[in-house]
Amino acid sequence: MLAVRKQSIALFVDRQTQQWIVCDPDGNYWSLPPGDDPWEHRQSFEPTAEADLEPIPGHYKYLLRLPF
Amino acid sequence: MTAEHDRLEEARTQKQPWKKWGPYLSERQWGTVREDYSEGGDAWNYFSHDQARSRAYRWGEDGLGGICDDKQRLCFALALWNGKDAILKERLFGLTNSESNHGEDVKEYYFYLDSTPTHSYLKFLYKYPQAAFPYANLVDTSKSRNRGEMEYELLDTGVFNENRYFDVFVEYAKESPEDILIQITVHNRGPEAAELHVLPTLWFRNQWSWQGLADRPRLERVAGAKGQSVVKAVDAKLGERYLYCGDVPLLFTENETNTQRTFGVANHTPFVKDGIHNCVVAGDAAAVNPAQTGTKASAHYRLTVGPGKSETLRLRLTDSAPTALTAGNGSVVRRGSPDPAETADRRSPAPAQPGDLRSPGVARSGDRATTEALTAGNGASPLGSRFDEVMTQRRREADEFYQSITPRTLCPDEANVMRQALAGMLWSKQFYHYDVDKWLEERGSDPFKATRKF
Repeated sequence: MLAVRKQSIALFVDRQTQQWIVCDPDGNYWSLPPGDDPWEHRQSFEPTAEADLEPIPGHYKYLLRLPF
Repeated sequence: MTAEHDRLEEARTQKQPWKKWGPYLSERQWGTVREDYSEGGDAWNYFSHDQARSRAYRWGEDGLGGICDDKQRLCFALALWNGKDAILKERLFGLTNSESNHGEDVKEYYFYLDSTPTHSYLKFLYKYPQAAFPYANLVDTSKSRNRGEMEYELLDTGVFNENRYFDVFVEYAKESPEDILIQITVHNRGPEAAELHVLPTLWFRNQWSWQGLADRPRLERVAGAKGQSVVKAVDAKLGERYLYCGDVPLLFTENETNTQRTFGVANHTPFVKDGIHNCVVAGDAAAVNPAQTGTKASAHYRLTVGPGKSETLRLRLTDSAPTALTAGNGSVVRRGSPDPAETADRRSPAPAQPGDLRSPGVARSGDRATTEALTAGNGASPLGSRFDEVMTQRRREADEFYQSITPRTLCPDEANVMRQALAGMLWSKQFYHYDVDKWLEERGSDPFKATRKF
C-alpha cells in the first residue's frame, strides 16, 4: 500500500524569551517574534539543552501563518 | 398522536429540521482525549479547568445548560458570577484522577429536568452557591483522603448552608426549528438579598484558527427596538442568526486562545477567549472589544434577587432580523415568591386524555407561517406577551407527549422518574467532533519516526 507522508513540523514556545519556535520540515529551528507576520521576520534558532521549549499542538501553525 | 409526534415525523421525513438545534453542547471539554496533545497522554493536566477559560478548544465547545446547532457552529450557554468567585462559572468543575480519592468526579449540582425528543422544549437547572465556590477546598480535601474514605462532596463544604444559593433554571422552547425562545429564571433560596451576574453567551466554535479558513464568522451588535440589545451572528454556512436580549450591555471578544496566559507568548489579538471574564470579574474594560464585534459575546445582566424571590430573563435566538420583528422589550419579570412550577421535581403530569392529545387551538409546527403569526399584530414582539404563550404551549405539548408514551400502570411519581430519565438521555446527545488523522498529525505523531508518539 502506498502512503503519502506529509512533511511534519513542530511548534514550541520558548518560555525564557517568550517567543514561538518552529521546527520546519527540513529540521531547521526558527524563532518567531511577535507581530502580524512573524514568519517573515523569523530568525535562526539553535536549541540547547538549557532551552525551556514547550511543545505546542500543530494546529497553532495557522495562527502563526506558516507557509507549510 | 401529539404535536411532538408530528414534529418527530416532520424531522424523520426531513420536512422540518426540528433536531437541528439541541442540547448538543457538552458541559466540559477540558481534560478530554481530543484536546490532549501532551507527550504522554496526560489529558487531565494538559488542558486543565483553569486553562479552559483562556484556551480555545480545537475539537468541541463546552458551556452551562447550553445549546448549539448540529454542526456546532454556533453555541449558546450561560455564564454566571456571584461576585465572590475568582472566575466566571462558564463550565462544570470537577476533580481529575489525581485530585480525587475515587477518580475523576464532577463537583457540581446540575439537573436535566426535561426534554422532548425534538428538543422543542428543554429545561435545565444549575445550583450556584452565593459564597465563593470552594474550588481549592474540594481539591485539597479530596487529595488528602485515602481510597477507603468517603468522597468529599460539594455539599460537605458547607457552601450551601442556610440555603444561600441560587437555583438557575434555563428553559428553551422552539417556536420553529430556527426560532428558539430562552427563559432564564433565577431563584434566591437564601435568607438575604443577593446579587447575581447572568451572562447569556453566544459564540462560534473556533474552526478558523485551526484550518486557516478565510471565511471567519462574526458577531456584532445591531440596532434593535427600544429596550432591546441584539447580537447578529453571521456564518458562511449557517447563515444569519439574531440573539434578542433585554436592555443590557453587550460584551464582545474573540474565541481565540489567550496565548500570553496559556503559553507565555504575546497575544495575536487583544481580545481573547477570557476577555469577558477579565472584564466582568477583574473590571478590565479594555479586555472586550469597544467596536462591539467578535466571535464571542455576552449580554450582561446584573440581578439583585430578594430572599425567596425570583427574577426571569427572556431571550430569543432566531433567524428573524430585527426589521422583520415588531418592537418589544426584553423585560425582567419579578416575582414575589418562587414559582412552584420551577422546583427541581417535575410537575405531576396532567390527567390523561383519550384520543387526540393535541391541545385545541395549538399551532402544531413552527413553519414560517407560525413565526409570522408570532411577530405580527398588536402586542407581538420577540420577547413580548406571545413569548409566554409559546413557552406555555411547548410545556403543555411536552406533557402531552410524555402522557402518550408513559405506561398507564405507572403512578405519577414513577412517571416523573421515567420522564426525567429520558430527559437526561436526550440532554446527553452531545457534539463530539474528532478527526484522528488530523489529531495525530497535529501532535507530531509520525509512524515512520523512531521517536514516534502513540
